[in-house]
Amino acid sequence: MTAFEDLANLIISGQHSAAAQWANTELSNGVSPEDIIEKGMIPGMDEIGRRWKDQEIHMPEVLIAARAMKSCMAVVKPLLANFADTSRGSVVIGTVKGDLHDIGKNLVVMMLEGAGYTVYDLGNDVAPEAFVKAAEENAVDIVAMSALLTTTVPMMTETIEALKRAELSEKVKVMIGGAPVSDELAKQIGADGYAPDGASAVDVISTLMKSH
Amino acid sequence: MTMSHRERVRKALNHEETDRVPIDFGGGPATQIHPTAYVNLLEYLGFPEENVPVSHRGEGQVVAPSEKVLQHFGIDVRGFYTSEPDSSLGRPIATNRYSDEWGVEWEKSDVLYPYINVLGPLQHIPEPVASDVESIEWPVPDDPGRIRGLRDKILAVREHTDYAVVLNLPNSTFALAQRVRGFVETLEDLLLHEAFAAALQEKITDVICGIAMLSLTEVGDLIDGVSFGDDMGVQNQSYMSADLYKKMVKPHHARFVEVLHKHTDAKVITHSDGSIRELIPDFIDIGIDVINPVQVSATGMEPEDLNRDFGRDLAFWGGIDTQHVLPFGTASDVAAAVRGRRNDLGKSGGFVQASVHNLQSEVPPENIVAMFETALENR
Repeated sequence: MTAFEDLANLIISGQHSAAAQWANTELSNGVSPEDIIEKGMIPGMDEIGRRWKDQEIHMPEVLIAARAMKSCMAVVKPLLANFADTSRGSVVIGTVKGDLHDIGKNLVVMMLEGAGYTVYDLGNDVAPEAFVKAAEENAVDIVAMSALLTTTVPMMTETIEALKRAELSEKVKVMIGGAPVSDELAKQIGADGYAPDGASAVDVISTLMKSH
Repeated sequence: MTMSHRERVRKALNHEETDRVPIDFGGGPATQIHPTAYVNLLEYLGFPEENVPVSHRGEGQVVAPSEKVLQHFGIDVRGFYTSEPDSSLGRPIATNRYSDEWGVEWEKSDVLYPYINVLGPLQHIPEPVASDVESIEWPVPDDPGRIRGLRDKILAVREHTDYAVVLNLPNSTFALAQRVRGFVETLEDLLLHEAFAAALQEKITDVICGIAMLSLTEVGDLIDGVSFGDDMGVQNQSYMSADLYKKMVKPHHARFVEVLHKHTDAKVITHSDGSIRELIPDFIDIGIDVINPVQVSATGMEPEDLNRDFGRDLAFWGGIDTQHVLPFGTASDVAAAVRGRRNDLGKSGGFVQASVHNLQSEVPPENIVAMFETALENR
């Protein structure tokens, strides 16, 4: 009987070497990479997301857990027959054009990867056309945009317009996040969802996926 | 009775009543204005065009408002900075890329953008140990270039005007550690590589204590406030728990603040964006007198609560919201915010009014004028 909660706990406590070692050992015992992801890694990162949302933990604990999750993923990913089959959904994400602030966006990326999503991270200063191109090429479910500067918020509207022009608005859901952004703004500009912080982003995306 | 600018600021920082709330615009690296908003403001005021010198200090395109603008609004504070050292290790690396005296590489991605730090000299080490901090060159703290001309500039203000003077020191321990080692890496090190995290902060604190001693020996007798920046919060929480702060960062902050108090009678002001409520008791404990910018839109930073819980021990500098009110509100929303802060943060002194951060390009001139004109009303 494989104790998947041991792996979840190694991830929660951010022990990256031990987590990778655990995965290696269990793979050689015949445990499937899919089970390691679904029964060990995802529950571990889910618990981190819950603790972060409830303000029980802060960025350092989240970051080392994500690092442990990544070390483990590096071990199991090459053994997956088809990585896309294990994915909960796919997301294109970036900080909008004119904005170089990417700390919040990077934390969202970590939480989404930890929750089992496939993430295409376009970085910062991402033009509307670049969001459109990446969404088309990868046939993603979600486009997620971040902004910190109040000045760059209108770029979210422009990106949504560009998705409409490319006839993608029926195919993808749009989520926005960042300090100057609100639920109200999301409704106003025609975004499908809004997340106030990295931990909530996972919940919002999973709700959007259900309605997708 | 009308007070002098300096008297008003000094009394407010001593938690005494003043004739009106003192106001700051451009007295520090985070109370300035974007060039676009500044040009709009000049036009609105009907001021002749100025040669607008753009500074990239503070990682943003900002303008320090001209003396004419400061006098127009009755701004009470004048800010000063240390200068670049003569022997800087900084050098150009490529077009639009250079390294600073800490070995941190900065890059400008677009003509419109400021430089942004992209790589630190210790960022590449996967599992760092304490001795790794000796593998790079460190800045020379007592380089005479840092203070050249500083005393004369401040003396001129002291002798010919009655403005309060703030000396803005360069960034402090944790912000510099994050540049040298990387933002994420530094946060991870606090838990994964404790000995290295301690050694790195110790080394940086040695350098900044040296810079502070040099600067304050030169001008410590002339200033009313000495300010340093070390961001410790994001929108909804502090970078780290109070327990982790106490264990890993507070000792370095404490050593630095002790050096400041030892070399000047001026109030010690610390700048940290974001939600920092969890750490404020520790800031008070190490002798910080004033916090800036009091980001009232962040979680747990409700002004009334802050003043109730910490107002006896701590003064507040900032408080006018830049995430919603100044860019998106009307002039009367801004006036309401100014009156609100006067009654919560400014209740019984202890408050210098400023925008929570640099005014961004879209902030309408009407709102900027409302912010300062409302502040000039008597209590």
